[in-house]
Amino acid sequence: MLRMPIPERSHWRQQASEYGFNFHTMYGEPYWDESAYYQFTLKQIEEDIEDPTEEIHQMCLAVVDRVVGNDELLRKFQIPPSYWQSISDSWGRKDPSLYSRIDLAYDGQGPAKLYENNADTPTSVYETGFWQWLWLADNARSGHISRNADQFNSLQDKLVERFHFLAQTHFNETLHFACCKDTEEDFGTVEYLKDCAVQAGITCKFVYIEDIGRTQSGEFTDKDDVIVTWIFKLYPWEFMMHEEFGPLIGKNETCWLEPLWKSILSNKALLPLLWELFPNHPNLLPAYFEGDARVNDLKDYVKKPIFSREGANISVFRNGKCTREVPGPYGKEGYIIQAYHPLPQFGDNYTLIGSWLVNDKPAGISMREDKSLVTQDMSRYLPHIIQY
Amino acid sequence: MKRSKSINLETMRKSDALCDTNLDTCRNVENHDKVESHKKVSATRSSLSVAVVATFSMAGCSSDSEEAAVYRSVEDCKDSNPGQAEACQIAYENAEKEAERTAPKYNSQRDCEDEFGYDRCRRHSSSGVFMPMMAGYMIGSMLNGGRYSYNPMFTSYSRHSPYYGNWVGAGGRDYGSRYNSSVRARSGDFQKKPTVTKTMSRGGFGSRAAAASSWSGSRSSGWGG
Repeated sequence: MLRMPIPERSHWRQQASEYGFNFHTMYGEPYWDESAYYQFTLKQIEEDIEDPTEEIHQMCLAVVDRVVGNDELLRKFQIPPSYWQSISDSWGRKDPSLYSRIDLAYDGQGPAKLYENNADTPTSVYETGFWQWLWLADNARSGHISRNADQFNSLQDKLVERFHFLAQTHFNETLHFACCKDTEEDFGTVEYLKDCAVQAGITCKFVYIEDIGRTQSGEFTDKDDVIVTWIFKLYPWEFMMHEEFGPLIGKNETCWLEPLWKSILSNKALLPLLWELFPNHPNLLPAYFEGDARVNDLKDYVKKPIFSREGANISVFRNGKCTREVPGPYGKEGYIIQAYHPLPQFGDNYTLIGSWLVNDKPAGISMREDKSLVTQDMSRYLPHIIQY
Repeated sequence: MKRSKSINLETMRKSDALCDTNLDTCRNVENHDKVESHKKVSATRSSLSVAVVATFSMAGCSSDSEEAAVYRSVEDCKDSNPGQAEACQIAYENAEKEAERTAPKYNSQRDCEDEFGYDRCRRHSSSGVFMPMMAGYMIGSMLNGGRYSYNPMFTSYSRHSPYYGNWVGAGGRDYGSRYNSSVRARSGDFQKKPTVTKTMSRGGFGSRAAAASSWSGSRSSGWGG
């Protein structure tokens, strides 16, 4: 696993505007960074990332199975009791999912370690499935990268295929896509997934999360008063459960992507449960609920809120002392403790691998770099290749 | 190969994506129909003609069409199809269900009768809003891969309605005089239509995002992770 410098393509900004990639620069800082790329061997990809990704995902599903129907655990996951039955129904029906991203720390050798699971609202899917694919195609054509080079990225193929499959059980049904207002990145993500669904022959319609309405009888509607029967939402379940329309979830005819049972996976309480069910698994880090006596055995650890986004409210403890604290609005639902395992460093950069799954199958990776140990929303996205 | 085999770049282009836009327009015909036809629910009669125009202007998207029978009642269907009594009954019941779901809805009986005529409206079974009574049902087969499909048909007895005396589908499509016992149907007519209803309130989702973003200032990145 190497970090290789490469000249930027001279036309990429213009290409970005042609293809509607409008969030390559955020808050005036670069987000898409093609001044370098990561290079893997096929063995690293297949044995150290692809296979473990599938295995980790299966272990995560085993945790869902354990938590569903277990009041004590559901309470530890901070899921409001009024949703327990609906989550159990969703899991029992095997409500289909679309995609997930798990975050891994890996430096080219040894087992990759699971940081967390973004199973509910993963982003950077456009950059991964399409944009870095295009980057490789351009550079292979211009000779900057060998024509034999490959990429671990079948994400777009798999998403279209998955939508094809989902369409079979939603014959001739409109699929709504939703995200919040004023969120350029989320809008781009949702538009991309919508494009994939259209390619699979599905009729799609967009609605903002804030514009969703309800009828007298409790059905959800879009802005045109059309009943929403099937919807992809890029908005966290843990938010929705505490909002005004939350009590209607699972009580009306709306089918959700991601399904309700994913609220168990996108929850940091997943990490201590994984360690309990699969202790000493090579791809897991020791993790406990806050207050567990075993935390005292950890010299260095990271404290993460049960719910948080983009690194907010995470603190790093070395020798029991807090050495780094990221501020943020989260944490009132409690914390978990995970053994400290720093991200690998390439030059000045700390590198995190996002490993994607579509319908339980590994589908590619994304590379994020941050100048800080804790990857946040200011981190940059870099492309990668597989060199044979 | 570990990457997507090929990606059709034309379908991914946004700025001058003529092809893509066309595709979208075609796919969204039903929705446009609904959007337009729905405006009439808020009781502006003039927009009804908009709905009709919108429907016809989209007609270019599909050239498939077939002659489909319209029956006024189960008896009417049985008379035309001896020995098919059960099929006629099932078709009627399915069309009734479809009518419940897709017929235009009105807040008051008066608004509904204004459009469809005196005593031609009823209450929706669950939501309590008003909708026109089904005046007949259309049966089509060829355009739906050989499967039979059933569409409710309505008609207006209100002289000032543009639908007066004609067959009209749930999406606002005008099929011509109700004295005809068959109409020209397009494949889109038998596609599943979205359910139209009345929205009681909006804004029940998104408040947590608003609260969290007021903490971090304005943000463009969003709530994914």
